[in-house]
Amino acid sequence: MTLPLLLSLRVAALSALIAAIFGIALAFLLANKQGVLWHLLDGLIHLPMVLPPTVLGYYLLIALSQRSPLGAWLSNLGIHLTFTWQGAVVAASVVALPLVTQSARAAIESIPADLLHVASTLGRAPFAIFLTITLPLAWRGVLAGVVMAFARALGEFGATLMIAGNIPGRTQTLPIAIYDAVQAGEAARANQLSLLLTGAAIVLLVSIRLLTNRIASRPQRS
Amino acid sequence: MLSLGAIDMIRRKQKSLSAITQRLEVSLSRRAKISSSVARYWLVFVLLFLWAPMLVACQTASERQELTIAAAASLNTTFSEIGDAFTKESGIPVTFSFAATGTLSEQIRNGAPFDIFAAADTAHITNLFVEGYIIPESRAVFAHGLVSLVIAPDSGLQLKSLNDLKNIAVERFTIANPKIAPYGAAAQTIVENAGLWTQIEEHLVFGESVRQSLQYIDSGEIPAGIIPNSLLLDSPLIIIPIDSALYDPVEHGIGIIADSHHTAEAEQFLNFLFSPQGQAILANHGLIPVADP
Repeated sequence: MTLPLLLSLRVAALSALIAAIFGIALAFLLANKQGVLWHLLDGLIHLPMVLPPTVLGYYLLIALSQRSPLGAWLSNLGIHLTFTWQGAVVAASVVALPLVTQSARAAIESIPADLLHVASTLGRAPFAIFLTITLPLAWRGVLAGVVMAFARALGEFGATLMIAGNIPGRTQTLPIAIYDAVQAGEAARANQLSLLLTGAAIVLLVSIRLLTNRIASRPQRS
Repeated sequence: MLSLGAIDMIRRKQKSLSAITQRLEVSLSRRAKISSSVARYWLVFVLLFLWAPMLVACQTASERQELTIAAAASLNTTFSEIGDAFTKESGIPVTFSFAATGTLSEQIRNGAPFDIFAAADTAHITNLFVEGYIIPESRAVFAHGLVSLVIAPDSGLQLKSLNDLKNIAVERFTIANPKIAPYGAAAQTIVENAGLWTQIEEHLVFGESVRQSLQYIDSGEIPAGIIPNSLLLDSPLIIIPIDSALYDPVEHGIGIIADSHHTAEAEQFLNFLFSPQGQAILANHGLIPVADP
């Protein structure tokens, strides 16, 4: 019973980290760039929120399967992303990415432009401004996004089942273990695992609420 | 958290407010301090909780002596018991992934790391063998399976045989998806051969595998369906045998996956499956063994 939980936590933590790295960078770019191509990128990032998990899982399976050029190339490097827990991380990261991007972008856009201009006129390089001014001022929004991404990754099911399958101890995350228990008619196990996941979700949602409340109630000081 | 907003409001009006309000502010900010430190501890706790599993060493599975077996959903309880018995005898841990035969077969094509594939037909095993995913000499038939008409006891359905469906209307009827589940295909053949297809077709609900179809009936969501006998051991459902003239018993094929790193252990498992002990477990679960135990 602890095995699926540990695997789920590991997958969700790594996915949240990956989504955070890419999500923050993308949020920064999207907040500062204009143009059709950036809108297109914005749309692409948000696709996993709209597409059914089956379509997403199918795309990932086609892209990463050893029968595809990319999958074969990765396989030669010794990286197997289908039916491994790392594959589950890929699926969960893709699904979690828009949550980080959205939340971080809103936080970044709420920073008064004057501050950034002042830093710029004082001779700070753009990346230094990002690290020393943008991020410190936007960190609550960013963190809320990352925690949300973690929660979403923890509950990821559809795409994960398609790309990672249902192998106990290796790719059987908590949601997939619940699905398996229900299918096998093991009601007690299904109940236990569901309660466990619900508990974890409540802890995470309370954290998000704490973080976002603080953003709402304490305006950025300038 | 509301108190923070309150403080800000108070601060804005501070100049025009009396000493009483200032005292209120002091008490409010004290509360804010407490709740902000609670929030901080909470966040630290949550962050630790998130990252704790990363500290647990990630074990690499391929080095250890173990077996991962893809098995048709109909073999769920049967193979779980065989796996336990095998582990007890050999000391080799076995992990099962149960799903419809077609689903597992497609997973194997996409590189799923299984050592053995136990199917609910021979066609999928043969196709995989032709495509090079199965070790040729490992292929075998290890059992045959029959199906039954199954009725939820609280559904109130008064069926004595499959033919009664000609006169008694069922709201919904479940079989496994015939495209991916051989037992679903067998169920479809039975319904067709019994001359019931046109009548039942619009009431059909496909399970993703026979396990799901059984779960639909078990939960009382669907009153009746056709389910493999191997899933009906100790079942509280009403079980009605189906005339064997209506279909051929389902052939359970098995094979070792070509990419397996555990072929020696896999052969050991196959030997156990065909041993009197293994075949006896199959028979206990309602399957027809190939070897006389």
